[in-house]
Amino acid sequence: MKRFLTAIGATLMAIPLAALLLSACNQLGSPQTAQQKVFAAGTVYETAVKAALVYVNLPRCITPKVQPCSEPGVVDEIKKADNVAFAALTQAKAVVTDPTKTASVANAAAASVESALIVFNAVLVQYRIGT
Amino acid sequence: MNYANFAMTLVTQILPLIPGVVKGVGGAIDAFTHGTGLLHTIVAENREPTPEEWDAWSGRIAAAHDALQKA
Repeated sequence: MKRFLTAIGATLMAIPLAALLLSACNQLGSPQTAQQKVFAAGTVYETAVKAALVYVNLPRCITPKVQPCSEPGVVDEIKKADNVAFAALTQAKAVVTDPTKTASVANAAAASVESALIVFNAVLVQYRIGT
Repeated sequence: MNYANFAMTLVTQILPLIPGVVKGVGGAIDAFTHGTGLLHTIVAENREPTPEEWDAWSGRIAAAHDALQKA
């Protein structure tokens, strides 16, 4: 019974997390500058990671499969996408907080980190985590 | 539709009924609400994040990253 309820919970959980991520840009106070955009991207990233952790922390699937469980291959894909997003965030933060960088370089860094987050979220969506 | 309100309604009214799932979801919601609150303040004050705020930001995303990679 508990397992059944947990499975239902995982399904229900997926709906609001997707909604949260979809609405993040609107809810983050309309960041204007490159620094604010990267700062906002960090919040979206942290939220997406916390959502992914719900899935990743499930016991790995074995045969015969006992639900709920996390597929090892899916976990690997999530971790790869996370590495890319984290690296992009770290690099973007370094750029936008560097006073020697021009505004156009800072804006490009902010745009690149948003692209990385889109990819990360797309991985989660692909595997129906947070969708 | 206001997705955030819709989401928060689901989270606050439905998910607490289901033990075991709430903890993980709560982490995501906490991260979201904390980040949005701080950024609202920064934008409203028309300023850039302070070095201290950036340090905290770096700590949070690094912790999230490490947790996921080690899970």
